[in-house]
Amino acid sequence: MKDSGQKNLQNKTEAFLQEFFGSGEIFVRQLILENERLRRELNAAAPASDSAPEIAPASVVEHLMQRVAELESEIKGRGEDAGYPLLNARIEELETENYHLAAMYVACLQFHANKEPFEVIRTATEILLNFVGLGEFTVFVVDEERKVLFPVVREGGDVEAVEEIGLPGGSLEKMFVRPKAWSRGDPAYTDDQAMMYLPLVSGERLLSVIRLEGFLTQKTSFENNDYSLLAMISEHAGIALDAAWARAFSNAPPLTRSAVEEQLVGA
Amino acid sequence: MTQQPKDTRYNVLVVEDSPPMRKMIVFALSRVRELQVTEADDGVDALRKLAQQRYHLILTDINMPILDGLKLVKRLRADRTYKETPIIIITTEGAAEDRKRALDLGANAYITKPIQAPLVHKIVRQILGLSLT
Repeated sequence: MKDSGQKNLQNKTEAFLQEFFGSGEIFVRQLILENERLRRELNAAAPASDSAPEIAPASVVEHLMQRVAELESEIKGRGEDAGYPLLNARIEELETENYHLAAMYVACLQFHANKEPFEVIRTATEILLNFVGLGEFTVFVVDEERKVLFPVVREGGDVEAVEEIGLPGGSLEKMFVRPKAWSRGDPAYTDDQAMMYLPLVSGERLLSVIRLEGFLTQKTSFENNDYSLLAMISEHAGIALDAAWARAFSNAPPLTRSAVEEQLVGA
Repeated sequence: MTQQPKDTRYNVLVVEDSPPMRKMIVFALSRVRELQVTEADDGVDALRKLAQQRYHLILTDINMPILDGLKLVKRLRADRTYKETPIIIITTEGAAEDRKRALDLGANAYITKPIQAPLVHKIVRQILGLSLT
């Protein structure tokens, strides 16, 4: 009995829904017909011109809607079949850009986290090797008394085989006399031994120069992002090296209020 | 394909002694939301972490102090827990000999420095059987 009652209720509900939606469909069709009639009257009263084109009949709208649905379906089908090539290419482009920005951030942060001069030089070496893709380069440090660059690290060769470079009178003299961190777009110091001499500068002090000599085997030229990394190394490795060098010879007193205030206001 | 973890996140261990390089690999992997990434400074640190938790994928550099990547691969392939776990080695293009040795020892794939984030995503997804999009 209970089942029969439930079935009866279900039948009634279905019948009501059918009637409800059936009436709705009839009503919509009547609206479309009325719309068509009004459109014909309007177009008869005011013939189409360039400034007032003929009002599109509902059947045209209906046709267009149908066509839009077809095209949407076609695009969806194509995209799924081809794995959304355009979208994927754009995602890959954004991922690469995102990765480059992260590389800049990580490299910069790492320079300023280094406390010892050798750590700064090691970081510069790792960035040139692993981020830029250079397989041959030599890191020189400036001997400010003798005015020469002396080699400290070499990638892709024996550092003992590298000679010092005199600064006065040489092609790198300008780099020493008027130190300036290298920026994208600046002319690169170069000669037959180097693709580029990259100065590491802090303020108006040249501390080091990296001679970029060759790429890793899989790389043949600099890419756009590499220049940003080189500019970052030129500036931030220079500052980090200067700070690490100063720290190496300082007996930093403990932080106290009087010492800090003396530094801040010269009291 | 490695076994699907219960919590749907794959534990990945990145073994690399260079801090900037390690951070960049972790960053690249962090873009794959199905991964939970842990860092290790070298082979010894890696072994310690591998003993504490089950990992589903290991990416390791080759040239590292104390215990290098080749020795790490050899140790893992002899370990009952990790003998089937996928290992990707991180190497330079020029180090073909090391790469071959690592693959002979049982590494599954390699990526070369400087790493390309989209390529890392693709290889990791393929190895773990994740959707490529």
